[in-house]
Amino acid sequence: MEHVAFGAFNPRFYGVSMFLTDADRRDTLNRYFEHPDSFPVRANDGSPSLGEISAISAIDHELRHFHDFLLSPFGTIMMGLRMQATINGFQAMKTIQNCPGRFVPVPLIRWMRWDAAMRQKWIDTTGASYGIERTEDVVPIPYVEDPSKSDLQKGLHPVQDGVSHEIRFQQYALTAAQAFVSMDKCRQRSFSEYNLDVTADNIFEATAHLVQLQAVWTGQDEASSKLFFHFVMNSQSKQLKPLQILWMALQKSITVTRALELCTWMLLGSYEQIWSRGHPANRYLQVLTLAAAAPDHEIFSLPMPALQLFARLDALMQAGAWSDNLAAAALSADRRSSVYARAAETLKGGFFDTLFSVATVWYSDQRAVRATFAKDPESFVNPLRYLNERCYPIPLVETRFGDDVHEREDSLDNLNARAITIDDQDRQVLSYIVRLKSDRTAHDLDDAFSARIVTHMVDFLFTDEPVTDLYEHWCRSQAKKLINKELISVY
Amino acid sequence: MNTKGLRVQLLSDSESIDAIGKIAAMDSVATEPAELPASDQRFGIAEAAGIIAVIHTSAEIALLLAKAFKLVRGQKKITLRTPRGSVTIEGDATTAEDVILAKIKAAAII
Repeated sequence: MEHVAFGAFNPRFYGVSMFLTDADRRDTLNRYFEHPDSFPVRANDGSPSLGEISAISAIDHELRHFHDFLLSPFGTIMMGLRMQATINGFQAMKTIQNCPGRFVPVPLIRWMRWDAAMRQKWIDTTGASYGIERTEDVVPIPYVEDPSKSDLQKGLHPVQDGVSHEIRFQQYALTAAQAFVSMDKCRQRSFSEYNLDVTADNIFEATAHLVQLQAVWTGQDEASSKLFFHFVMNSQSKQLKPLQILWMALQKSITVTRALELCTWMLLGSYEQIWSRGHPANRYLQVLTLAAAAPDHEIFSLPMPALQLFARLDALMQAGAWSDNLAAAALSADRRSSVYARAAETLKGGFFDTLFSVATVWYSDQRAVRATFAKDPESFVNPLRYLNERCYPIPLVETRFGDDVHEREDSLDNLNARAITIDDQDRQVLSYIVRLKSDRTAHDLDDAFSARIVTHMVDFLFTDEPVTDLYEHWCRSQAKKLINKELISVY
Repeated sequence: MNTKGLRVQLLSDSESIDAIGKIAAMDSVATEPAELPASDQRFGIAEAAGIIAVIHTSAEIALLLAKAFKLVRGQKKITLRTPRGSVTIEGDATTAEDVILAKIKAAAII
C-alpha cells in the first residue's frame, strides 16, 4: 500500500487533523461510528483490509503526535516558532495594505530569497503578463538569502514607534519568515550514520506507529494487527526506515513496549543541545549504535520500569537527566507564556485574542502532560495503558476533505463543531473543527477555529503552497480582503 | 501573452512530472526543476514532484499535458499553477487536448 497520510499533526492547527480525502475513507468511518462491532470488515477472501484498519486507528496515531509534541523539548521549540510565525505574519498582513506597491508576491519567502536579477527575470517573463512592469509595482521587501539567520529579535518582534509602514511590514515579515524557515530547518535537520539519514519526524512517526499498532490490536483484532505490523516493517516510506532498522537490530528481544520506551527517550533530549546530541535523531543513532554493538544488552532485553530504563539510558549515553531536560523545556514554556501575556495587553481584539487564547491552552496542556508523565511515565510508554486510561488531554479534531468540499444542505449549527466554509451561504465546507470531549469548552472551539483561519491565511502568504484548487482560491480571497492588494504567485 | 513566456508550475507524482519533462524537451518547451517545500497540504500525493515550465499560450500547455497523459499509466492528476491560481486536470491516455484547454480556460488563471 502506498503510504498516503490518513491524518497530520502540525501546530498550524492546535489539535489533530484527519484527512477524509476520498469517499472510501468517509464511508469506512461512517460505518465504523454507526456499527463499531461490525469491524474489522473482512474482504471476500477473509483477510482484513489495510486501508480500513488504518482509517479506523489513524486518530490514535495523530493523538500520539499531539502528546509527544506537548511532552518533548523539541515540541516546545516548534510551538514557539509557530507562534512567532503566526503573530508576526499576521502583523505583517495588517500593515501590508499601507505599503507602496499594488502586488504581493506569494509565497513571500520565495520572493525574499530571490535576488534583484531573479526578480527582474520573473517580471520580464511572467509579471509583465499580469501588469507588473517594474519592481516598484510589488510591495518592497529586501533580498534575504537565509531568513533564519536574521539578527532581528526572535519571538514577538517589537517594532519601534514612528517607523514607516514599509519598515514595519518588512520587520514583521522578516521575523515571521525567520520562524517559518527555522521550523523547516528543525524538521529537516538530519543525522547520518550507517547509510541512514534520520530526522526528528522519523522518531515522532516511530512512536505514533507503535501506538497505532497497539490500537489496532486492542481495538480490532490480532489478524488486523499482524497485517498492520507487516505494513510498518515493510513499507518503503522513508519515515519508517529508522524504526524498521532498530527493530531488525533488536529482533531477538524487542517488544512494542520496549520500542516505545526507547523512542520516547529519544524525544526527551536536552533543550539546550537540540541541534546536536539532544536532537531526537541524534539520540536515535546513539541507541542504534548500542543496539548494533550489543543487541543483547540488558537495556534492550531486561524488563525494568521506564524510570529505570531512562536513567540507565541517560547514564550510558552520558546525557543529562531526562527530567532536567523536561524541566528546562517547561521553564522555556513559562517564559513564552509570560511574553504572550504581556503582548496580549497591547495586541488586543479579534484574531489576536484568539491566538493568545490558543497559546494559553497549549501552555496549560504541556504542563499537564509533563506533570502526568513525570509522576507515572508508564502511563505514556506502556501503549496499552496509554490507550486505555486516556489520561492525557484530548485535543480538538480538524477534518479535511482534500480535493473536495463537503456540500451541506444547511449551514452548520452544532455546539460541538465549527465549519470553515468557502461560500457565502456556509454550505461548502473545507474543514470541520470538532470537540470530542468536554475538557475543551465551546470557547476553546471558537478560539481554535478563528486561529485556524489566521494560520490558513498567514501560511498561504508566506510559505505554503496548497495543491487543492478550492483551498488555494479560498486562501487567496481571504487574504486579499485583509491586505487589499493583488496576490500573485511566483514560481 | 508575453512573448518571453510565462513561468508556471506543474505538480503531480514523479511519473507524471518525468513524462512532462520528456515531452517538454521534445517540443522545445523550456523547463526547470521546481523547489517544493515540505507541506502537509498535499492530501493523497505520497511523493509529490514538480517542474517549472515556460509557456506562451494556454493551448501550448494543454498540448503538453495531453501528450504527457499518453505517456503515463492510468488516470493521473496534474495541477497547473499560475500567478493567479491553480487548476487540477485529471486525465489519462484518452484525454483530448481540447478538453484540457477548456478546463484551463474555465479556471481563468492564465
